[in-house]
Order: sequence, then structure tokens, then C-alpha cells
Amino acid sequence: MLQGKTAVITGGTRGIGRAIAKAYAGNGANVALAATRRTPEAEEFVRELRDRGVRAELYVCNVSDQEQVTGLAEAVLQDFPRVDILVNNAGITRDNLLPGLSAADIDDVINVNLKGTIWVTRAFIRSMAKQRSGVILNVSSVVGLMGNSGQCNYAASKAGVVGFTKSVAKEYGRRNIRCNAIAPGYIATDMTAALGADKSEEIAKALPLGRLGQPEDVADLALFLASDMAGYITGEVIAVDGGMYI
Amino acid sequence: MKDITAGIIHIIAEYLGKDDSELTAEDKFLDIGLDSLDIMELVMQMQEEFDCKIELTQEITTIGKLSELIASQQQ
Repeated sequence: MLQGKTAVITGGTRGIGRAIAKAYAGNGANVALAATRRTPEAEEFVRELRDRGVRAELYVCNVSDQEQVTGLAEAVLQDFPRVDILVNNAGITRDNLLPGLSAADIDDVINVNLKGTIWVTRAFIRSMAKQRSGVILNVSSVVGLMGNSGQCNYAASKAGVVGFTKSVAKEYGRRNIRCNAIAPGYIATDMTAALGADKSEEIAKALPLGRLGQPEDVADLALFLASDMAGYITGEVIAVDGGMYI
Repeated sequence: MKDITAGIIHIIAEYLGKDDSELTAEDKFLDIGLDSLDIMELVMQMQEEFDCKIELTQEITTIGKLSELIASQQQ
């Protein structure tokens, strides 16, 4: 579905980003993964992707740091002839009830989840505009649509991503750049494992589909949205949440 | 000023795949097929080329007016 295309995926070595990278590479796309650390696991993952016959590279980048993001874009555009798909997936949580959120808890989450998405998009949008094509996928969250007690900072950052997505879709539609957001619900990753097995089970039982989502559930949508099958879809926010937010 | 205008014309002509001689200072951006995103892209290139900060306003609609603006920003 993505034969010969190149995708940049932030937070691309773990959780949802990792599943998206696998899905893209499995469908013929070269992948440039950005991660905050170059770990042996990340290196091993890149090797696994290369075994699928595509080009895969790992870049160290903290998306909240504008200079690092500029460096990422320069390095990727030097290593690959063009970037067709950008997935802004990198995200963090610093959960607490509102009075308990420190300034750093708020800044860190907004800086990575929202501003990071903006910096990375800005770094790659010129090359996409020049080539008159591109797909941008922003990983928001169902929490950004419905809110969540204990996640005021995270919900605000993810709601911000929705507004940003729609604005980019309007601004760059005439350059044939599509921009959509995915709003995952409760997906089984390291991020949600922090809540514990009991809590996870309780949440799963309350969902219409009765189970937690898997990273692959999100990756399937990310694959569709990046493909030409979604060629007339832009500015949308699509939930992958097992019916959590209906 | 003349150099700046010629420089702007060259950058825009290259962007549009035209010859420099096909453009004049009086040309309006919209008339030669440039939209706001094109102009933003070109202005970023010109900032690097002319080593100045270009703050575009709604009144800057022609190559000549842009040339005047860059000349004033460079001083």
C-alpha cells in the first residue's frame, strides 16, 4: 500500500509508533524513526524493519527541542530523497489532579505532545509543499475529545493537536497535503501499563467492545490514512477506541 | 534597489519556471500565479538571500513593493 514511500515516525520505536512503523515497513515504506534515546532495543527494531526489505534509520531527537527538530529534518532529508508521510506520534503523560500538577508537569506535556507536533510538522511541511504532496498524521487521544479526570494537561495538549490538525488541513490542502488525527482510546502500551492490571481490566470491561485496544488496531488506521485509499480524507479526527467515546 | 528588484525577480522566476525577462516590478503576485503559501515560501528564501527579516503586510502585493520593503529592512 505504501510501496516506495518514505515515512517519518516520531516516538517510532515503542508502543503505537512501533506498531505503525511495522505496518508501514510491512507495506513497502521506508521508515525514519525518531526516538529520544538510541537503545539496543531500538537498534534491534530497526534491524528487524530492514529485514523486511525496506530502508530504516533511527534518529535521536527530543521533539520539544526546536533545534533538535531542525536537525532531524535536515538529517532525514539528506538520507532519504523525499518524505511522503509524517506521523507525529511522540507523546508523554504526567498525570495528576489539577492542583497537584506542577509547572513542569504541564510544560513537559504541552511541549512534547502539542508543541513537538507543531515543530516537527513545520520542519517537514516545506519539503512536502514543494513536492505538492504529503500526508501528516497526528496522534491525538480520545481524552482530547472527551476530557479525563487526572489528565488536564494531557487532555489539553491532545485537544490542541486536534485544532492544529484541522488548521494544517485547511492551510495545506491546496498543496495536496492531507492532515488527519487519530484519537486512540485505551491502548495496551507502556504508557497505559503504568495504571496497573486491575485498573486496566476495569476499563476494558466498561468498553462497548469489552477489550483494550492493541497498538496494531491504531496502526491499521494509520496505514489506511497514509495510503491513497484515504486520498479524499483530510482534517478528520478518527477515534480507535473500542467505543469508549460515543 | 535595482539589484534587489532583480534579485527578487530572479528568485520568483526560478520558482515559477519562467525567464527573468517575463517578470517586472509592477507584477502583482496573484496575477503571476503566486498564492499566500508560495509568497511565504519565497519570502523565506529571500530572507536568507538578502540577509534580512521580511515582515509582510497585506499592502505588499507586487514585486516592486516587496523590493522597497527589503531595501528599508536592510538599512
